[in-house]
Amino acid sequence: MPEPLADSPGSGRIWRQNRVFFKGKHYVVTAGSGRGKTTLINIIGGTRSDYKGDAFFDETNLRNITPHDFASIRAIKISVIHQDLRLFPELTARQNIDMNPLNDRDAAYIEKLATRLDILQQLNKPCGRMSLGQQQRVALIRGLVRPFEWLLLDEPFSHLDAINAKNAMEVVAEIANDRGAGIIATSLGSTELLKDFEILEL
Amino acid sequence: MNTPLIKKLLLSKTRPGQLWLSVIGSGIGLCIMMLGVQLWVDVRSLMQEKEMLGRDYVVISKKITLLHSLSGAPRFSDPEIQELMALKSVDDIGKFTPSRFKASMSMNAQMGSLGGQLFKTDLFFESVPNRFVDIDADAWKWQPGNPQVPVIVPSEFIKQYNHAFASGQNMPVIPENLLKSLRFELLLSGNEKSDRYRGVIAGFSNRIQAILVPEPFMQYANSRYAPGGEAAPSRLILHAENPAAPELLNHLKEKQIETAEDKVKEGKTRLLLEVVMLLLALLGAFIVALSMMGFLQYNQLLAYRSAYEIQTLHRLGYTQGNMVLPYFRFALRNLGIALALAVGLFAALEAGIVGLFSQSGFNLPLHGWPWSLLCAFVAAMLMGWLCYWSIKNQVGRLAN
Repeated sequence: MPEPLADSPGSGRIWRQNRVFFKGKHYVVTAGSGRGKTTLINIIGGTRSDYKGDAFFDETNLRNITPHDFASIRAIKISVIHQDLRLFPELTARQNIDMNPLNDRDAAYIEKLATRLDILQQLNKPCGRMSLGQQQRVALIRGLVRPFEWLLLDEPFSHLDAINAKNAMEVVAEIANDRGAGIIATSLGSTELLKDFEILEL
Repeated sequence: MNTPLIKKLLLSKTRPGQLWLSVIGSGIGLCIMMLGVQLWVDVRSLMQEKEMLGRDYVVISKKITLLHSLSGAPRFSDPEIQELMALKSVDDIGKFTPSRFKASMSMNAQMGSLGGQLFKTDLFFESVPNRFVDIDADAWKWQPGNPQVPVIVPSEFIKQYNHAFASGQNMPVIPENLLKSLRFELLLSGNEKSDRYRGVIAGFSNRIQAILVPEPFMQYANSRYAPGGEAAPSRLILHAENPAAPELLNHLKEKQIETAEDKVKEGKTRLLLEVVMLLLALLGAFIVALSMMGFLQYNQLLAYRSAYEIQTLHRLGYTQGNMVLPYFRFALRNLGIALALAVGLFAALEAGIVGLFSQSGFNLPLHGWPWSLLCAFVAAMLMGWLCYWSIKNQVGRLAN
């Protein structure tokens, strides 16, 4: 339970409950605004520790992992696509994608992905001059060309139209399955795109 | 890992104006510190000029009043010496032993046609314990049977001889270093005995206005020419860390004891000089600390301006160490520039000062500069270390 939400009554299936996420499976967490979706993503991603209770990665309590070790774990095991995208506006799309500590896909693969997501023309443009929808797709590509066992998606399609969202969902599911990775996504409520996802209310 | 891009991202907000202000500030700070160290070392070496009787010795005697013209010079009793010894500022006390026999000295010219006695005078000796005489032990020893006696002569005697006596009597003027190679004859008598000795000048003293001989010689001569009647000393030599200590001065005043005034004055001057130098050093340290803080602050601010980049890179999986490195390298580079600036400025100022003094015909001895360089390097290393920790803390704070 995150400390800022400690006083609110819990009725869902994650806060104040025991919950296990299995690798290779897909989950979507739904809740209204301010219920702690992003907080959950950040706790699992290791960038927030102001919560009560315990979270484990395999047998390891997340509290016992130092920030240094957690960063190294993220670099090879956890890919997060943040709600606020976390791009560098002055860098081009290509440079942004290149900013992963470790990329295990080559330039040709990146261009193929960009073509599928319809932003190939934008790759050499600074992200600061792109639309939010385009930026969201750049962030997706950056999150998909690096090694991961878990893909954490925080409202990943919020800025995409229906066609682009569907397209992006296919790409995400395909790559995650290829890698045998698990997905934890969050959503305000609509889950129709997220087929085969176990739906969990916060 | 894309190192050039990380560097570009993290160091994108350097603000050249602020950067150069912090670098030049640290350079000036380091330079002031170097000048301070130089001043400290050189002034100290100037103050520690060689004196046969060490630096911190004071000669004291009791005030002579009309009453004493009948009873002889007032003497120090053992309890009085104990009292002095009990003072906190007094480390050591030695007794002056005066000669109780008749003595005269004569100098003969040994150069052919000029042969004959140059001059002859009566004189007296004193001695102090050897530990108070700061002179080569080999040059200051005497054993019974040795016809050669080393003496320490007041510098003032030589000046008076050269400037007043020699010129008035048409006698040759003798410089101090030549005097050391001259031999003169000492005639000691008393107790119906009389012997000749050869005197050698072992050194000169500004402090004592009597001719000093080694203490063993004095004991031997007193017992040979004037046996019996060892009297309490009328003069004492005492070692004090600070001859101008108020506790000591008050005690001397209260007991009507006189001191060689100039030594106390010198002590006061030195105390004043040390206080001024201490204040200067504190001021310098303050400026150095301020400039160091400015430099550290600049580096912290630089990281702070890239808080978003640091946090984002951390979320992507970069460790804090990955992100500290570009900042630390940048800080080291700037520190190097500041150090070079400080050394250059210091060298230029030194050359300027030396030039200024040599124009007015004064050869300034500068010995302190290696210490200045050493201190500057140590300070720069300390600064680098502080930088590393402050950047590390700052990045750690910003990343999470």
